[in-house]
Amino acid sequence: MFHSIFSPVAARSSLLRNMDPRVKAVSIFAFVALASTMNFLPFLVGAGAFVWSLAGFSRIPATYLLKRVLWTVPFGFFLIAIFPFFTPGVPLFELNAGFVSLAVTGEGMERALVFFLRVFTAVSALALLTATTGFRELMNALRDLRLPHILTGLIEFTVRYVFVLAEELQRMKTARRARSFEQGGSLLDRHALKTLGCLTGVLFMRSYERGERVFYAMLARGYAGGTGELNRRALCTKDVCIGAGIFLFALSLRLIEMGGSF
Amino acid sequence: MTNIIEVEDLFYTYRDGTRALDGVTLSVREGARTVLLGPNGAGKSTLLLHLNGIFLAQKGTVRVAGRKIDQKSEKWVRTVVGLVFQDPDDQVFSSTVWDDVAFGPKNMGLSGAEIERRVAAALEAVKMGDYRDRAPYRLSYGEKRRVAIAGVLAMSPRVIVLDEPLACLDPQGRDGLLEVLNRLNEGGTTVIVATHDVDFAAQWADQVLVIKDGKTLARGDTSLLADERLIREARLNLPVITRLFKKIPGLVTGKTPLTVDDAVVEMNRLLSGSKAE
Repeated sequence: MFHSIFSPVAARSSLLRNMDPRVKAVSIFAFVALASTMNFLPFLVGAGAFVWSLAGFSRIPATYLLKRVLWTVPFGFFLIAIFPFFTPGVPLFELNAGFVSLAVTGEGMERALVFFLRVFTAVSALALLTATTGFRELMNALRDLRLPHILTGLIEFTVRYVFVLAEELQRMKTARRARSFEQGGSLLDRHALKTLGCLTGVLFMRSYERGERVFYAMLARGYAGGTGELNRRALCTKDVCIGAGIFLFALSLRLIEMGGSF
Repeated sequence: MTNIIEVEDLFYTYRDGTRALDGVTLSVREGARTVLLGPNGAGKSTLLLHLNGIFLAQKGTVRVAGRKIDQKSEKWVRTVVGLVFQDPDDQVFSSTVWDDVAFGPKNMGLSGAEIERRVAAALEAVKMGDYRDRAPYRLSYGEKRRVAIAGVLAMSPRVIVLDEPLACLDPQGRDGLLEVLNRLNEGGTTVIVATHDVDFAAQWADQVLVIKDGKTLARGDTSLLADERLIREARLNLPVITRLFKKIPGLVTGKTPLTVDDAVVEMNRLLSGSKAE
C-alpha cells in the first residue's frame, strides 16, 4: 500500500513526469501557498479543476488521485458540521432543541466550503507532485533548493523507518495475542489500557534505541554530518515555462481576487 | 604475523552504570579468521564499537595497525576497520540500495567515478548487483544483510568486523555469507566475527577469543572449544560433534574432534583399525 509513494505513477513520457523536479517542486509549493489563501469560491473551484486537469495531462489515473485526497472529505464534513453554527451572519434556518436554539448561517456555510476547497486543492496539488516525481528525485530536488539537510534527512528517515516500526508494532501485537490478550472495546478496561500504555512506552524506547544504533552505524561508515553533493544541472527553458505557467495561473486568480470586489 | 588489532586492559561503563568492559585484553592477527565468542551480555558489541572508534577507550588502549585510537585517529580508523551491525535495519537506511552502499565511499570523499566503481564491485561481491535501484524495505532479511556488508566492503577496509552475521539466516543464506567472508579473507582482509555459535567457530576460525562479563577468558585456536571447563565458564556449549565424542570415550584416540570433517577422519581411522597411539 505504501509503495506507491515511492515510485511515480505518471506515464514516463508525460508532461510533468519529465519536468525538472526542482522547478516542479517550487511551482507546486507556490501554487499551494496561493491557493490556500484564496477566498472566492469559483476561483478555488477553478484552481482545483486546474490541478486535476494537469493530472489528466500527465496521464495519472483518476482513481489514484482520488485515493490520495479521499481523507480530506471527512474533514470537510466536519467543517460543514461546525462552522455554520459559529460564524455570525444571516441565519439560513434554526435548530431548536428545547431551551437551546442554534442558528445556521449562510456565511458559515461558505466559510466551511472555502476551507474545505483550500485543503482539497492543496492536497491534490501535492498528490500531483508525488505522483509525477520519484521519492529520491524529490528529496534531491529539495536538497538542491537548499532546504536544510536536517529537514530532508528527517523526511527520508521517517519514510525509511516507518515500515520497520510498523512491522515491530505488528509483531508485538501478534505476540500479545499469542498470550490471549484481547483489546477491549471499552476505554474503562484498565487492564487493556495499561497494556496499551506499556506497549506505547516500549515502542518509544525501542525507537529511541534504534535511532542511536542507526546513528552509530552511520558514524561507523565515516559520517560526519555531510550534506551530500548538489545537482548543478542547468535549468531547461521548457520546464521553467511550465513551472511559470502553474505559478502564474494561481497568481493571476489571487490578484484578480484581491483587486476585484468579490 | 603481526597483530592488526591490539586491545589492552580496556574498560567501558555506560552512562546508566552498566560496566560492559572490565579490563579486556586481546589481539587479532592480520589476515586471520577470528571468532569472538561470548554469551549474551559479555560485552561483545561494546568491544566491537571500540574497534571502529565509535566508542573511545575510557581506560586502557585500542591499537589498530599500530596506531592508538583516540579523537585524532577516529576518522582514520573508520576507513581501516569496517563494522557490519547485527540488525541490517540499523545500518541500511538510504532510499535505494545503491545510495546506501555509496554512503561510506561518499563520506570518504572519493570521486564520483571511484564511488561508482566501488559500489558496483561491492554489490557484485555479495551478488546483489541486480538490486541497485531497489528500496531496502523491499528486500528480504538475508538480502538486507548482504547490502549491509556491501556498504562496508565499498570502503575497502583492511579489517571487517561482523556482529552475529549468521543470526536469522536460512542455511543457504548462511552458506552464501560464508562464501563471501572466505573470499574476502583469501584476498587478505582480516575478518572478525562476533557470535555465540560454537559450531560455526569450530568449523571456520583460525583464531578464537572468548570473553565474558567484559573480561578475556581465553585466547587461542579452535582447540579451546573442546575445553569443557572453559566452555562451561563462558556459558557456551561444546560443539555438537565434540559432545558426541565426549559421551563415547572409546571413540577418542587422539585430539577430540570439533567438526564433522574431523569426526570423519577420526572414524575412518577407527574403522580401518589403524589407531594412532
